[in-house]
Amino acid sequence: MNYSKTLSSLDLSSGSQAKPSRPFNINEVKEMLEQRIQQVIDRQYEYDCDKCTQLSKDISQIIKDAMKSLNYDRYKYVIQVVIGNCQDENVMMTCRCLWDVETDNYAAYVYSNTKIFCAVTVFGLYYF
Amino acid sequence: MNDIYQQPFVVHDASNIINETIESTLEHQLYQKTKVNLWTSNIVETIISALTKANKSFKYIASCVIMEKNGAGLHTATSCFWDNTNDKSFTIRWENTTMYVIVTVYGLSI
Repeated sequence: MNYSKTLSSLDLSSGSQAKPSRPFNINEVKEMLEQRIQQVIDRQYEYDCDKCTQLSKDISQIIKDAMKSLNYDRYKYVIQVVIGNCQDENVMMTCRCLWDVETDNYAAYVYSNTKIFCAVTVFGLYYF
Repeated sequence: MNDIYQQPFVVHDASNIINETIESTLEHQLYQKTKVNLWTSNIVETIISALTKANKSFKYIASCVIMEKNGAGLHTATSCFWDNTNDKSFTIRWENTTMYVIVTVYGLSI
């Protein structure tokens, strides 16, 4: 989408900023995701229906708090966690985004062992 | 910020668009590993272009998960750090005899 029209009509005196002081760094976020998820799910973790319901919610909260502690100024976050049983079937996950490519980005990490897989995606969107 | 940028993301418009897109892509189809890439891309791209036509000043994220029905379980969870008054998300769960489809759309105001 062409945001230049929107940007030119922004009233900059009211506190909007067109460029982030520190842009979304994919590698930093990916490293954080790897660390946090491996702390929560260890190699022996098995798939259990009730436990995994709570686990998916817990992981999304943990990652949201971790993103807040990374201190990106004026960024909104969307964190999506998908947990499933590894049982020989196939899963395909796709996303498309309409955003400003200069300021917005996403980082994804997939963890799997023999019993369970966990895919976490973090989207960072700049608030003008 | 002008009021025009403060319109909240309208959920029921989005749900119609998503439902129609899934039905048109997957009705009567059986799960096929070779086609699933094409289906997911088609669904999310159609949703994004339909939402763009509404011409509101929003950023959109559309995510689609297709899973074959084989007895395994799947959980999804989302957490968001955003402006609760203007930003919304919407999830639709659809299934047929051979697969489960979960489509999530997020709309964030600029």
